[in-house]
Amino acid sequence: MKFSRIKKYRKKHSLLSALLIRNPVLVMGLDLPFVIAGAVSLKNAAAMSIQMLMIHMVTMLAGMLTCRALPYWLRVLVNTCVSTGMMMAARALVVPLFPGVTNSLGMYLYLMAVNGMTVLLSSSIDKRAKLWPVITGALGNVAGFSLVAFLIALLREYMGSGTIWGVAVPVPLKLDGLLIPFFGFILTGFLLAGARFLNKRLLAFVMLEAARKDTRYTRIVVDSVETLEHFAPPPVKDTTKKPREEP
Amino acid sequence: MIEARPAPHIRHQENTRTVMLDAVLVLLIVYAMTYFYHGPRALVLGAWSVAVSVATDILCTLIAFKRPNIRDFSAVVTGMLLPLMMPASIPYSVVAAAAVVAVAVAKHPFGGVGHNVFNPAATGFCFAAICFGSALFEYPEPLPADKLPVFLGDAQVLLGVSPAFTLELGGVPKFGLVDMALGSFPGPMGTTNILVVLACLLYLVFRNTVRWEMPVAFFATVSLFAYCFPRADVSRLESVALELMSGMLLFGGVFLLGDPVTTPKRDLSKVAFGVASGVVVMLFRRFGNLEEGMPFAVLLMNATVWGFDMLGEHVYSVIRRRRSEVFKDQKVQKKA
Amino acid sequence: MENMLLFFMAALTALSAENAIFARSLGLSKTVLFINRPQAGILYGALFTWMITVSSLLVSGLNRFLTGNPHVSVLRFPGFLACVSLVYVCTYLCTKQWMRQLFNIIHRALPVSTFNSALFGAFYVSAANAHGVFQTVGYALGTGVGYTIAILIIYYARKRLAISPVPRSFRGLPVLLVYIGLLSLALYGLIGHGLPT
Repeated sequence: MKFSRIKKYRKKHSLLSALLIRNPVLVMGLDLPFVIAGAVSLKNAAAMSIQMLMIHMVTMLAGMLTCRALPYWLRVLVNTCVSTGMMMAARALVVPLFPGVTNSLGMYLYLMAVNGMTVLLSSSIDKRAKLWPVITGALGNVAGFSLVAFLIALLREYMGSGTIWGVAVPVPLKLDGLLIPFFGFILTGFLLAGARFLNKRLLAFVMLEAARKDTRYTRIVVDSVETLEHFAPPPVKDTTKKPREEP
Repeated sequence: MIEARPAPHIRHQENTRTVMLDAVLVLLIVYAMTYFYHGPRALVLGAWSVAVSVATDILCTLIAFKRPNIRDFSAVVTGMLLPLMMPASIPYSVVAAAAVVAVAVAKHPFGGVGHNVFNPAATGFCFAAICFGSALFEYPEPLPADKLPVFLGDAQVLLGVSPAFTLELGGVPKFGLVDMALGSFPGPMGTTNILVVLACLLYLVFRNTVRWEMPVAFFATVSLFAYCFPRADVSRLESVALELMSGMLLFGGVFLLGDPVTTPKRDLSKVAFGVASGVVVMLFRRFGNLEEGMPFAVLLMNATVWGFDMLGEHVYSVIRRRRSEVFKDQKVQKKA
Repeated sequence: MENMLLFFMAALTALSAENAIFARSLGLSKTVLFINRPQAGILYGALFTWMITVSSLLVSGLNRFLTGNPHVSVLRFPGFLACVSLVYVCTYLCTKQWMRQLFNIIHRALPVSTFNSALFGAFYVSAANAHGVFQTVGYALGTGVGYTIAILIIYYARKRLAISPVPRSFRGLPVLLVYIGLLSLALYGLIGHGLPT
């Protein structure tokens, strides 16, 4: 099997894979408090995403400067001060946009200044890091966080409050308990398990497509993922010397 | 012919199926009493809960690409337990939601039957209590003139509070102890039948499905707590009787804390677990904000089972070491 | 006597019913979820307890100063940050100067255990409940001890779940989150109403 074909197909779903499997929330367990306790409505998720974008981007850029000049312990302090400043600015923008967010998010609106993703990642930037990868990495982190927050908020708002974006919608059964943090834990756990399951099936599909395009194997019977792993290797030429036949 | 078989090579009459069938049998008897008090709706609720639990169990097993085991009655037991902890007037949707959470959240993510850390029935009830609080704590009168219809619709049902709620407020329940022992008071469907539940406990202990150490330690601790710190203005013995017969305490002590999967394995660990559970349950009853703290306390204690198992193993290893030292000393003395 | 009672009641509440991790999911991070040894968890928790308790002495004064101030919502978090930063810098420099052995042990964990949502969240709860000095310090101490106990519970839960036949998709973080969620559900029976945010 040509691995170049697999690489080509994997690139096509790399963005999906990045959002699902290299997600900072789902894989590294960063920023879980905001997703679990804060993401109870789509407006909350939107407010948190805008805040996270502003805080994370600016703090990561500040981290690029501090990593060259300051020791680690001071870097964390300075980056936290920068993120606090950005949090206040973001709050000033977000509160007029989403009027009820102060009540529903409460202290989590302010605690975004010390969110784990920003504090940890901004202080761990390498001195030799280039600007563009840091920016794209930070954007990816924010995208991953936003995706998880929106997914969880959508489910919890629909099933817990019976609304979508504050608009009442018919719901078969309204469960108030979904808005409480305990269900956030359970939902996040199931979301991560679902993401892993999806990625495994996606990878199997990618390998199957690559195998089908490969002309070396003209007849492929595949009925399961496990079968893909049992493709026979190409026949090896028998180079052992045969004994001479005696007349 | 030599036949190779995997370990363990010890045969026992008991297996998962016999344990679950024992539980199903005693629960059927409890359901017979609930039919007597609340009519056919009680049986329909039980059947509906069992159907939803089994369907969820099969679905979760299929999603995990495993073959469903129809002969495993664990989902049936969970389905039968849930409505017994709820009022007879509970909507069918609440029971269904509780059953789905019990099986899909408390059982399968942890590895399925025999590997769940938390009791599924307690989890389902706790979830329902938080989501539908008021519907779960208002009970119809038992033995009404007109039995509850199977589908309530717009029917008017007179609902009351249980003695557990009265005790929580510091009051004295208006029902006599004899009425409470016979189950003639509003409360969760299956938990009011005190004598039947006690008979079920005796049967399960006799069949070795439930070991006697844990329930005895649990009820003794609860009684001592109720004797020393009565919640109502009654005599101490009356306080003990009221605490044991009100709410889900007796039922939970038999069916929730008696679950062999989510309780410690060693006898000493079971005793310690029973004592600790008694203290935690009474603390939940005294300081908790919900009138039924038993299932929540069960979940909390399920998370500490590993600690009690470790404690039991440590104590037994110390005893074994001492015994071997004494045995060695005796051997040396005999030789001398 | 009354102050001591307030202190202990606040500490007990913060430790059990309003546990930072189980009740509000504060302070959850990679460090807490993937700890390798119980000793590392105890060290991290002890450091966190020290930082939050000492900072709470300054924060209680700040809360008193900010009471009735029209700009309290703007000044509160920067004020908390200033108090915590002062304690952080003093702890770092003092241990580096005079307690070298201790410094070698704690210097890596100190930044992460200081600047996290559990520490600032506890201060916000104290401010929202208008706690006095004793209650603020008691709540902070209870938060620290409860946080440490929660870290150990999560560690032993991971060990327990590692030997179970958990489905492949759920292995690791997913089943741990479900476990913590069910524990959180159990503790909710004590609270029984919405937590103040």
